[in-house]
Amino acid sequence: MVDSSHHIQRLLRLSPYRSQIIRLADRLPKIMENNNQLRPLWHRWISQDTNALQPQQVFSSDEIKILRSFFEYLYFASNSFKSTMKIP
Amino acid sequence: MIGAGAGGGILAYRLAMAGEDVLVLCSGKIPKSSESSNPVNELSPEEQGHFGIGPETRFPATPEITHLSTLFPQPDEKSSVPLSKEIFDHYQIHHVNGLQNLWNGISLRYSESDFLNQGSPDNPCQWPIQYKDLEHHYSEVEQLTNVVGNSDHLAMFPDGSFLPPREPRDIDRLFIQRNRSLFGPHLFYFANRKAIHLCENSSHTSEMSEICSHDLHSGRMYRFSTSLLPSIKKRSNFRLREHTRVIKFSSTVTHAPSGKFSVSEVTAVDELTGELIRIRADVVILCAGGIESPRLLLNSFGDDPNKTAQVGLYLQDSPRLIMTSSLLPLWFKPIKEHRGYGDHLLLGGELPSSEEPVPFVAHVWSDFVKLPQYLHTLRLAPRFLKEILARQIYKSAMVLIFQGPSVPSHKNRVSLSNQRDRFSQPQVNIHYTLSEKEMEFIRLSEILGRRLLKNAGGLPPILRLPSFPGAGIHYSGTCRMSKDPDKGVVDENLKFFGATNLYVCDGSVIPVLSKTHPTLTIMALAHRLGDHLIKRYTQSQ
Repeated sequence: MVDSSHHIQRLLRLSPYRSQIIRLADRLPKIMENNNQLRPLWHRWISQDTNALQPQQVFSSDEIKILRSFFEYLYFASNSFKSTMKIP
Repeated sequence: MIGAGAGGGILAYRLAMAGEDVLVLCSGKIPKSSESSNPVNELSPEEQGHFGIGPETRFPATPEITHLSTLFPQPDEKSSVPLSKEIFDHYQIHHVNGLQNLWNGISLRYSESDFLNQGSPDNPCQWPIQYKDLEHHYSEVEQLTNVVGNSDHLAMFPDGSFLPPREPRDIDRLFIQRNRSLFGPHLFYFANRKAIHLCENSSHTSEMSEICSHDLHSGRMYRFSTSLLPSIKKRSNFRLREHTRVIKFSSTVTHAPSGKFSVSEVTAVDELTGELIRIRADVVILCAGGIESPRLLLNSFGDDPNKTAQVGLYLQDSPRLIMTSSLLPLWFKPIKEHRGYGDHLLLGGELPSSEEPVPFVAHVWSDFVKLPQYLHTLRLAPRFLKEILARQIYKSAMVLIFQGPSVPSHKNRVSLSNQRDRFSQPQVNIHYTLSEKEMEFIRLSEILGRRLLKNAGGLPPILRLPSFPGAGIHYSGTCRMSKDPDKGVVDENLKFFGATNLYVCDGSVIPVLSKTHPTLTIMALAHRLGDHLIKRYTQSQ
């Protein structure tokens, strides 16, 4: 698989939850690759991404919403969120 | 024996412990157990690695049952040709324990009325046995698999031999209290009855479970591989061969005038090497499940209508409705207790309809909402508020899972397809349509479900999750029992009509799938068959 940590970190800039899920960055390419909706978005990003390019220049507004929903979902499914609950 | 699921596991154990020579052939492997010394250990979506995201998950995520088991087969290993979910959501597990790898443990007896025959005497789906024929075997299996429950004296759900169940939790008590005006003879609750895997160092502490269709870690609920296999695997008269896919039976005629035949050879393929293996046995017992068993029979004998005219017909599955809501009375309250095994209560009763009342059973499920499929309901909330609201939803969700009786139809069936799997074996086509009665059941359940959740403080929106035919995972009917060989596939002792040494022992033999989960009944049938075989073959020897 392409060394994707750089691409993921740049893509995570889309998300207000970036600081909470950045630690999961190395796992995200596999998750995106395995999902039918996210896979083409991920492929497009890694084929077009340069340091000068912003995600908004690669994706449509609807696609940005999808990606932001995905990152938000990850946070609320993560141990970071779970640790905020006081579970006996 | 082919397969070690609900029926095969009990039967293998019974026969092995009785000293019979038993060879069990299973596709796939023995799944890993994730038992932990910590009885309340629970893996989060992050710890599971997939975060609850599968190939079909779409964002923004909405509530759905997610297909995420690592045990599901690859497309070219499946029994059935690719199907849309809307036609039949076919779950398959080709490993030891079979579909019981997804099992939530619910262990309910069929009632006396579940065995009574409905409709005209010409009705082709009739039980050839009665409750009393299985009663003793239900008790034996309940003790073997550690079923928890109370003596509730409910005609619809007969009592059994139980260990004490877990107590209702605060959320269960809230649900009961808020709905108390609805409870009566036609709607009642009782402690769930589940076959648990007891923790080490604990005699009566049950572990948690997750809902069916997730990758349920074995070791929490009863599984053949973790509960019974350890007792028999070192016996000299028992052998389990993994990664062995049976593809065909060969037969020889034993009495030409009557057409009686015996299975002379079982052909299997080693899934790892591709080597063909041929086995001969005195008795062959097919325990491969409601789709796979008829598939194998059709593949073996499909060119002889005398043998297979009834095979694959009357496929049934439990119609289901799933509803969920967050209960406001639990918001901003501390979490005082762990969630136990998720569904400590069941509901039962009859839904009023324009014709006859419709019997049902329902899980009252509550666990922490680890998958944030609720986020779409918070899409307009600012971030800081979203986090606060998510924490309340996390601990306050309740899910009601209604289940009703299936309606047998000869149009619902499996048939051989022209498409083949990676072992070059024909796959099956599944033909399935919900009946008007089943759709009416779903409609009536939704009315009741909304009322129950609203009474319990359920916040809008009260969501109805999509649930498709096949998602009940109770595949039955395709090798149904009967007194009449023209109206069934196996007799009352599960012997294949016309065969001298072939039996079927899995969900496919159930002729009429009631509102009650069939797993305990399958296991009781297996226990009964074990007694029958031991008596028959020991006597003959």
